[in-house]
Amino acid sequence: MLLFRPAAYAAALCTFAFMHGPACAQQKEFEGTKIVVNGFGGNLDDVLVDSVSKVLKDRYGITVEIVPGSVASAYAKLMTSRSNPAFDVLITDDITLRSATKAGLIDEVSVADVPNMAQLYPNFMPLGGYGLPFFASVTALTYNKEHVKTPPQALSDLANPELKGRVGIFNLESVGGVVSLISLAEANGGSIRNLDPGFAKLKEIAPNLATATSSPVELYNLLQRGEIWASSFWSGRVNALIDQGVPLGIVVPKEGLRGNLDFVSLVKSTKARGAALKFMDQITSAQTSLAIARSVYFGPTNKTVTLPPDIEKRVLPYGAEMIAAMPPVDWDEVAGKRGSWIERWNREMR
Amino acid sequence: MLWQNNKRSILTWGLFQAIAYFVLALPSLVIIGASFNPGSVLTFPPHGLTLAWYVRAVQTPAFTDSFLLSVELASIATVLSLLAGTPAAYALERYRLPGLQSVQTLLLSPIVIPAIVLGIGLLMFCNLIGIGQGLAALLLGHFVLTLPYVVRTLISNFSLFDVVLEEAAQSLRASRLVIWYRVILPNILPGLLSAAIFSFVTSFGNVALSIFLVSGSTATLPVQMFASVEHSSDPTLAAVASFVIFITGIIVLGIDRLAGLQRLV
Amino acid sequence: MGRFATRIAWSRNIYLLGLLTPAVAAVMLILSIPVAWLVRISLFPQDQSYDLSGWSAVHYMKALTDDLYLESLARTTIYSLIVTLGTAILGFPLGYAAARGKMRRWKIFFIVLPLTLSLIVNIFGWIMILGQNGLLNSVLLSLHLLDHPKQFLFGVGTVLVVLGHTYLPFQILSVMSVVRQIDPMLEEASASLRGNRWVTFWRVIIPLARPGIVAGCTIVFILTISAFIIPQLIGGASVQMYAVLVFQQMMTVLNWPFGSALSLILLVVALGFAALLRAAAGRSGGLRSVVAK
Repeated sequence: MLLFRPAAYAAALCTFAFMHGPACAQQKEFEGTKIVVNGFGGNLDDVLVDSVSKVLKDRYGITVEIVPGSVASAYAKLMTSRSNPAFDVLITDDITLRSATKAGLIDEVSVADVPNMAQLYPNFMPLGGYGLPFFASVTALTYNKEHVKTPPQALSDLANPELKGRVGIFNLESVGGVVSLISLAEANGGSIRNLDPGFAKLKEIAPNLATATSSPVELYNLLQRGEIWASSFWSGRVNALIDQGVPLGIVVPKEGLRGNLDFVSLVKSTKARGAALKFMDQITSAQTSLAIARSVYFGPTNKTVTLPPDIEKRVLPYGAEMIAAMPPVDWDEVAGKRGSWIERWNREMR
Repeated sequence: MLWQNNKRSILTWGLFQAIAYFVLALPSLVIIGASFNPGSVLTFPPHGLTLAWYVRAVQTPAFTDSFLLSVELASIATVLSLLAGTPAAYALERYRLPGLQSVQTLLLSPIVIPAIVLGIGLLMFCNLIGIGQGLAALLLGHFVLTLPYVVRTLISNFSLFDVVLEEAAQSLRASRLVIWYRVILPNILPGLLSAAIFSFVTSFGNVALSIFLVSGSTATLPVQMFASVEHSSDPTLAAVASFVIFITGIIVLGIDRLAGLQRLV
Repeated sequence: MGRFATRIAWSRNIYLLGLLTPAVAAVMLILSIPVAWLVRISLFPQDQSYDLSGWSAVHYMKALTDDLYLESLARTTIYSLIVTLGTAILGFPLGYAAARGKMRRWKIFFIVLPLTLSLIVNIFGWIMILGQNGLLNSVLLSLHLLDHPKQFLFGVGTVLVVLGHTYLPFQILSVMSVVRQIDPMLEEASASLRGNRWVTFWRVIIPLARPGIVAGCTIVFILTISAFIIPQLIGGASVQMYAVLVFQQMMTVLNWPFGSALSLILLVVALGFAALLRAAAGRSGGLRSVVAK
């Protein structure tokens, strides 16, 4: 977006590049360009900085600025600054991607623009070039091995009286909560259009609930401290906790492994289109996919990634068969109906 | 003090205060304790003692830059609010005109508008007038956020400040400016300080509004902390918070040394 | 003000205008667009944020007739009143003691301390204190007052306590700054006139400090009724304060029209309370109410 005192910049880059080999007498392709992306904060941002920002800086001279904040606030920012967008690349989740597309905030890209697009799993791209997935995460059952005598095998097992007051789950403000509800409904004779069985199961679990929250960090903290002993939580986070020594077990629930994706999209009327496309290409590359899987145990979306044996079993979802077997989620339906589902939840849980 | 005329009431009074202040400080104490924990879990009491998280916090430019920005922002917003709010509070308290009640409601309203709404609305405003996000937008937002506290606090202070003193000065042919400088301001100093404290901490700690107004290079500390918490809850956060507490202590003690806090408040 | 008023009425009005203009102009300018936007959005008939057109009051109808939202509004108002009352009762003696007593420097530090703690950090602190593996349980267990850990987190009581704790400093500071201005001679005069402690308390101190109490209560009520981060994270599943519902609509469901309608209703309730409080307390609080008698 802004040009950044090119001369001084070029000098600094040349020194850096000189130390790493190739001659740098020529200018980098996008020398001095800056792009802005919305970020997550924390470890995931660190991975993006290492695998994407640094590479773009070295190779093309692009500066990437990651702005912390929620996906919803990023959406709101774009809605109010269309002619002079606050971001060049937008990172979204399943639901916001659809809202952003409908609102005309993002542009479609093709394989010609982003070569790595050809390497992505096709059934991870429901909106085609409007949003390219760069990681997948699933909610799995987790339980504390020290305290729970009968490990839950299904989401509905969270209603087990042994777990009274020790269960923490996502509420419907989180996509994690939404997919759990859908799974519960479908496993008990319902569907995404008939959620009654799902809500009925939730009511059974309700007496065991310590909390139902939208904050992943709160569940993380509660699991870490042993305040809650069972949850349906992002498998990547559970793996991180296991690495820290928390005695957790992961179970693929009987209701199936559903998940969600995070996408990267090109913002319409961005002034740094070329640089933005390079960002999208790098973030969907096998290299970044692998780095994300290593660091936060989220599933790679790039078909060509082979995970090393030490983490292969721990990363979910992984592998063509597992991914093909994941029950689909009609996110359009979710986007349209979630408001009323949240209201129903509020009514039933109060 | 008025009714401290026997040992027992002095003791109960003292005990009551001690407990109250202890409870007020409790979350802070717990957080400070947790910041020394060697493991990456937020826990209290800590299992050991280490300064590693403080080192990490200070080495994270995101935290140090945003800390400085927050201080700068809060200071400017406070000064602006005091400058605009003191005369306004005076006018609202001293004059008895019918329209003034609505004016007061107007000046109080920013606190009530949910921060999300104010944030999105201000963002639109800033884009409309061409300043976009960043320091200017944050300044506008924080100014309008802190003003109600200043006004409300000072109204109550002015109501206690007897108009007789001003009238006396007026009858002695003092100009309005002199009355302000010599009569009014010295007498409402406790109120000014109180208002300044309100204003500063409100601005410094604000998250909900600031999220919308920050740009890449100008994030405030609470926004950084809020964002970092989404994906990592290790004690670095506790270290940052403890650091802020430490700085607050220094400032409070510093003001005391410089201006004799006891006298002012 | 008598004779002075008539003589300098004209220049007084200019003066008045000058005093008020900066603040009023700033607020009106900066708030006008957000509030106007809020009002306009609340009058769209749609349920989303990306394609809005037309006019309709349907969201207000829903907000004011649907029992989920009405109940939440009623509960939130009651909770806010409880917190306001609680902080007023606790805040007054503490503020008084802080204004008059010793160790003022330390007291101010402890009062300002909770305010410096970012909300998120504050909440983590409370989880460490109130959780089943937390401080309170450890203490109670070791004193044998409990035989197994009790869940103190998550629930209405906890939310009210944490909200009260978070906003108590505002009350204390309000009262403190006002009491500091009360001449101690007044209290001593009352005491020397053989008025017992209670008479002095009710007839002298409270009326004098009333403006401070009113200011503190106004601020605390408004802050509590618009609180959404604390109730969301400490409330558990069943506490649904109004501002949380607003947040859900605005940021999660992205139903901006409905969310805006809810916001405006909240705005009206909060400002209404502020006005009520000011009217009930009477503008003649402060020095006049005591001296004029």
